[in-house]
Amino acid sequence: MARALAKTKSKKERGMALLLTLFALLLLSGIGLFMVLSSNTETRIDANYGSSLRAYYAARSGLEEVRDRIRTVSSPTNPGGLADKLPTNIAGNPNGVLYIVNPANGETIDPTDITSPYFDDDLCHAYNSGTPKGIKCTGVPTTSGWQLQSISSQVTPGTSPLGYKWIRINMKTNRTAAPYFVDQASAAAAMLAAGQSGAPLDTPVCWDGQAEQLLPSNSNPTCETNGMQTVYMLTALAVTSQGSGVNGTRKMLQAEVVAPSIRPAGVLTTASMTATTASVPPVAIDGRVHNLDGSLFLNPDGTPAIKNGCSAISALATNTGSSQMVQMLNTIRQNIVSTANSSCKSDGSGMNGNICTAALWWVRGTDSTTRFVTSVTTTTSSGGGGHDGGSSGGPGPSSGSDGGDSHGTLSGSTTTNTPCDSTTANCYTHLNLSDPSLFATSAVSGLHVPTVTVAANQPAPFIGNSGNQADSTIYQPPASQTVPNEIAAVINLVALSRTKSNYFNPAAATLSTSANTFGTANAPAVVEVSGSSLVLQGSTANLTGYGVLVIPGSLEITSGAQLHWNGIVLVQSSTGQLTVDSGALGYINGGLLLAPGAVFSVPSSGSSQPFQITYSCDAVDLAFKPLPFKVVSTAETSF
Amino acid sequence: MAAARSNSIKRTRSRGYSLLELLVSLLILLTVTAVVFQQIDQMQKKSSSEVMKVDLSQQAREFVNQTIRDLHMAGYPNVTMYSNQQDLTKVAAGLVSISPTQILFEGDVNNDGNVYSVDLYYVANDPNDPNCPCIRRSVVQKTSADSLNEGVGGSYTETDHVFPPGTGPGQSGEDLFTYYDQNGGPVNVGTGIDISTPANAATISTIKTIKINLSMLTNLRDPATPNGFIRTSISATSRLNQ
Repeated sequence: MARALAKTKSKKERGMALLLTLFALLLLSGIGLFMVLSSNTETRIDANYGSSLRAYYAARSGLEEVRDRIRTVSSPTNPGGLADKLPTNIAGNPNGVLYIVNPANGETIDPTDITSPYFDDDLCHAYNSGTPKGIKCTGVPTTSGWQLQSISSQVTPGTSPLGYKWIRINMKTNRTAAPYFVDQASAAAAMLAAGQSGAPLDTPVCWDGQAEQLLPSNSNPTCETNGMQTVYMLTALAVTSQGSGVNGTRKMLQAEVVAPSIRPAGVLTTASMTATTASVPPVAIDGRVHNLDGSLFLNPDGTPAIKNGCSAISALATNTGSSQMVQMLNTIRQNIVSTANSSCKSDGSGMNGNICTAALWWVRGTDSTTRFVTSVTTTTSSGGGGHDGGSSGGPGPSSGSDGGDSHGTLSGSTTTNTPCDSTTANCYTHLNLSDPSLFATSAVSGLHVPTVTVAANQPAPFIGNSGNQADSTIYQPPASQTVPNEIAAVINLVALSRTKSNYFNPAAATLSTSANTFGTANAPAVVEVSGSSLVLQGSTANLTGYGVLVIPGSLEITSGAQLHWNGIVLVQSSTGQLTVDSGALGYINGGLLLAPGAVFSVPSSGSSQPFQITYSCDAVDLAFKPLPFKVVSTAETSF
Repeated sequence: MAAARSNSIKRTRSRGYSLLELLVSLLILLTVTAVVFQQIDQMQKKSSSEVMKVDLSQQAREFVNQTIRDLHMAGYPNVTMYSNQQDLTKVAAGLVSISPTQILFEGDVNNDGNVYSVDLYYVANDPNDPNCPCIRRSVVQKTSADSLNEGVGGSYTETDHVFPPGTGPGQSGEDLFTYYDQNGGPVNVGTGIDISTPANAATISTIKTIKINLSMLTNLRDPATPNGFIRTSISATSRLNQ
């Protein structure tokens, strides 16, 4: 009995120790488990934080990749270039959207697949889909060909730790800007609320060098033909993975980007002109698209073409008010017609001791009466039953004078000369200054007008896209700040360049009589002439360069002097003047900007070789080559 | 018979515990238990300490996250996004007033189509708030063209028990907000500048990155380190879009 009791006691004591040990272990395990759980929670918080950061910077890396690639066109040596592959229409229309996709190894990314975890659920807000902003998209445009062929990222698959999924490129419109409508007008907001489409809600947004503008509603269809750049909206999606599958952070960023360069409103942007020319002025202001070497950019069939979205612009542009320029152009027309009518007979021979050139004969025409007149002679009989002359065209070639200039007077009658009515077809105001025949080198007689010989793609004194003013060679931007903003963009470029090695600040005096070269096609220069005015004086003066040439005061190119500039020439002073004398040689290939107030002096006749001012996007862009695409804004969307 | 009984008692006693054995075993048991409970106590303290650290880190991260996201939207929408500026309340000025302990900026921080004036500022002492030093955030919708006088919205404390920022004695060693230009060079804002003067506005426009240096203390003493508070520091940079 006692033994049994002892045995029992002994067993109980051992059990107590075991229980205590188990209890202690339980406590320790519990505490350990709690700490592990806490640690896991901490790890997860860390992972989420890191995932969020990775997604943000992945999306940004995508934006930066595209921002860099759209600077250049694609070529065998630069296959990543995108400048020639950008959307040409607004989203929802054909060729309106371009995706750059960046799949990981073995991954398929289709932003248009509704079942894909990478579906673009923000695209529908860029066109009239009926889905309001703030609600995720559930479909894609139904228009055929609404997206361009997707292009792969330049990032090697699987090697990028910051792999975004896709970047969407589309033109910015007032709709995509909602609720921050570019014109801040209520009309677009009302249309959006009513589910309508069209202007001004679906109007593309342009960049004038300093600010965004809506594309003006005129016959010029693009930002470029209105003196501005297209604004592109980049939308980047980045999704990080955690563990297996897509369950990490999703970030969508948007950036508005625009080329750093400008698109002049006209080849020559000026406020006013002076002209004393007696004949066809030896200047060719050509708004068609030219290459960097000055040649005309042509379609395969030889017609002038659009180059990477760069279209022809008008010859002249003005900031505010074109009446002075219209008047001056008519003065040029009047002088040409007067000279032609007083120099050419209908058979092309000269008269009055004047030489009849092929161009003047073309103006004069081959009929007995001249094609154009400058005035109308009215004869009024004082004794009643008088004769109303009304002659338009004058007495014909044999009289040797312009119509209305040398009528005799009938007995008892009075003869008066009045300017011709511009509504009549034969008034000198209808002389087309954009006709290459004005630079004809030879002519043979033809029906009404001689058949002239002109060189292939021969320019004219004022040629290019039609403007929007009374004279079709003049364009005036609807927004008054467009021209000042273009000039400000050039001045900004100069300011940014002052510390760079490609910046030059030569004195005007050193350039005036010597030969100087600045920059090359691969390394453009920024030249800011010091001194008030630059006169390229005589045959020893030869200024050649690529990039930007800024003249603080006035610029004069005298007879025999040469200016060969590829890029932008800016006459900065509002009281400055650009004078191209007869016999001046060379060209400006790119764009010529005169500050508002500065005057362009049209050269008078006397030179067989016109000084050429030609439009070239390549040359203009060259000046801005060192700058990246400008980011107008960046925002993180809620999607 | 007596011998047999004596042997039997002897055997029985030899199988039991003597008082000494009991005392020794109790002592061992107590020692083990004491060690175990001491460990448990330390673990509990550690656990509490870890929980406080986690809370502290989380609070700091939430503040930094929100601040970074706010700053990403600073200056959006900007003035160049408009062809005319009839309604200046729709134009975000970006950074308006900055100092080592304050950032006043404008942006569409809520993605709702409105521009807000956001003021992040350090409060060293508030007699009505024992949780200060703290950082507060005021958000008010922009209603005036004057970015410096948008009025005061409700200020909410973002973080409590901030370790005083600055480089002086008893301070964290870093300013709460430091500013850098596009090349990563520091931008000196002194004791604070705003856009009221062209020179200062030009200085502010050069700022492309803001670094947030936050040091915080726990609101309770750290049980694991008697008489001490847990301090955690977090730094983050935010790239501006202005």
